[in-house]
Amino acid sequence: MGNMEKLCPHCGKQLPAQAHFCLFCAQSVQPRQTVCPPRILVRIAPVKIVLAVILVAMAALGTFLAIRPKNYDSYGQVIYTDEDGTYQLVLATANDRFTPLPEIQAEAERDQTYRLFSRLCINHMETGANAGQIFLQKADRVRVEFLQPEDSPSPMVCSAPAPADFAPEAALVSGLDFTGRSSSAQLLWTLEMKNGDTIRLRQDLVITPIRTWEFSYTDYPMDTVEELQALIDRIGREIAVPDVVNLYLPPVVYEGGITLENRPINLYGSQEAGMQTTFTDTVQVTCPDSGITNVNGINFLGGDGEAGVLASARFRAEACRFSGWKTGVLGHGEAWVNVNACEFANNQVGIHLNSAGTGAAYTQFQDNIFTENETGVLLENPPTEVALDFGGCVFRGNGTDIDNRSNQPIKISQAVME
Amino acid sequence: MQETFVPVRLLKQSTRGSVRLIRHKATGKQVICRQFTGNPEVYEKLLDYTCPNLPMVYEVASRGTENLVLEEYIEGDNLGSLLQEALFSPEETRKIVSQLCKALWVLHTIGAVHRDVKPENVVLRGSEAVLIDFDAARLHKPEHDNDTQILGTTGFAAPEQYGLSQSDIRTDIYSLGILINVMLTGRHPSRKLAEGRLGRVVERCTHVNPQRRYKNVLRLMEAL
Repeated sequence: MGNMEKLCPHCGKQLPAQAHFCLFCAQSVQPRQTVCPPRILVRIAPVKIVLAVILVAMAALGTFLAIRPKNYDSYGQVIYTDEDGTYQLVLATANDRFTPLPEIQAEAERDQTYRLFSRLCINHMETGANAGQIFLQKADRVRVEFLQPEDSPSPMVCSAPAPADFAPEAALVSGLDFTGRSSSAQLLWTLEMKNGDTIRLRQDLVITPIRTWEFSYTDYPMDTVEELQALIDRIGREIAVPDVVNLYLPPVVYEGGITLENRPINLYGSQEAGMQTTFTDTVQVTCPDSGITNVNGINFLGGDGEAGVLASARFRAEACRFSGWKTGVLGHGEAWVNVNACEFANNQVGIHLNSAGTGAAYTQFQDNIFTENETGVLLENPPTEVALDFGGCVFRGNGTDIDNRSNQPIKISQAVME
Repeated sequence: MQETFVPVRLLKQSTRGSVRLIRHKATGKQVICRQFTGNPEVYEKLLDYTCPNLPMVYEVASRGTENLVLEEYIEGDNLGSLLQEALFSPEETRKIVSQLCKALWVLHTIGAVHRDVKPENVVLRGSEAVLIDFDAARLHKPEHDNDTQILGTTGFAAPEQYGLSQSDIRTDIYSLGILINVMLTGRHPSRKLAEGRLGRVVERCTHVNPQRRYKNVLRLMEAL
């Protein structure tokens, strides 16, 4: 028969040995097993009833043990299982919702205030999915508190846990406020579940004091822009970060600008006999992104330069005045800049945010006064997607108060547009 | 083949292949001819079985990754088109889905997952519901962590089928849950969940955690 080794049982024609179907009569020639699901019958023989009762009792005991409220308590993360699945509750790092951060280390200057964040992320163990919102529906209450020495010179404070738009991966976020004088403390998250379980997550906040160097015009020469620049350059060579440097400037008019290029240095202006610390040329902030350059109480009076402050590194101004410039403060490069309680008058642009960076350390731009500028605020490319808050600002007589060409989210409900 | 059959009409064409209705010249019997690239292992397994709720697979021929399958043509109304006209009563839904459970029980017994349970793949032949189209099906390999590609139909595919975890028989149970809801309400359960006991069945079928779904189709049949 060669390879024609079987006959069709229906029509008798010869078929290949491996054929399952007869092409001559269109019938299946394959032996088949008819399969149906089994019926589930539960029959308990009388002799087994006692055993069944015992098993039921054991099951009840097991159920009781299984469902009684449980307590979980751990640093950084807790693996929690309930009837719906297993979850990883993590006090996570900023960039990774799976990696626990049992200890936050912060360097703090003695009299500075700081805010960091503790992020609670909740992951579904099996799928890795972010289960925060689903999981929180099972929780009756979530609270956060600091456990810290009663005699801490500056007790830490944590905010009530809440979702935060800057941390969308986190189910809840708590802001941690402290100063350089705060004692290290332990943060305790407590989740009281509706089923009676209690989950505690702990995280240490360890403060390392930063040394602060103070240089005052009464002790060091800085009456001219040359002297000031020489001091700044020397400090840049001799004092490393994270040490903080504060320069207290004399009430003089600097005929020219300075450049901060080696390290951040905080500049504090002064007033005396009607004189105020004043720069008439651009202050450039180009130092590496290792800290914030703060300026306070200084008058930037438009002169030869394009901008009062030209910052390609982190910069913050408070209680300063910028007037008569093409641009009062320009943040560019990848810099984040911030101004509070400042006055911008008679500039082409008061403050101009044009940064390719992706992070902003502070999004409050409060209590500033913008007067008679062609444009008060120019938001060309702010380095954050978080809303900028202009609460308490006054806009008066500007050609354009806020040129928001980047469609940046902003809060102006508490601002005054005259 | 060309000497024995004549084409009747093209039923489906995709990048993976085609499905044609063909007629046996001598007897006039209509048969489905499926040509596709991929793995024919589920069709090969089904050569040995028959079940009133599955089409009978007559023949499987392969050359490289090209496959040709002849299978029983199921004459009847497609559940998808029926649903465009009217919804089903709870009793009708129970009956139809129970029959689909029987079909899936056969597949699961041979280690296969259908992965594309949806109204368009259910044909009502008289009083029997028949589950068709195993193009997306594959044999379950629990040793693999994650070997599923997106082959199901959006809306009827279980979340883990999008690459989150290994597809298993609970993937089909998820799709059955969606199907129950669509038969009763015409809508996905995320939009409108069926009421009453069957709504609770849907919830359990579609639980986000596969471990919380019915363990197997027999459990689902019991619940129905």
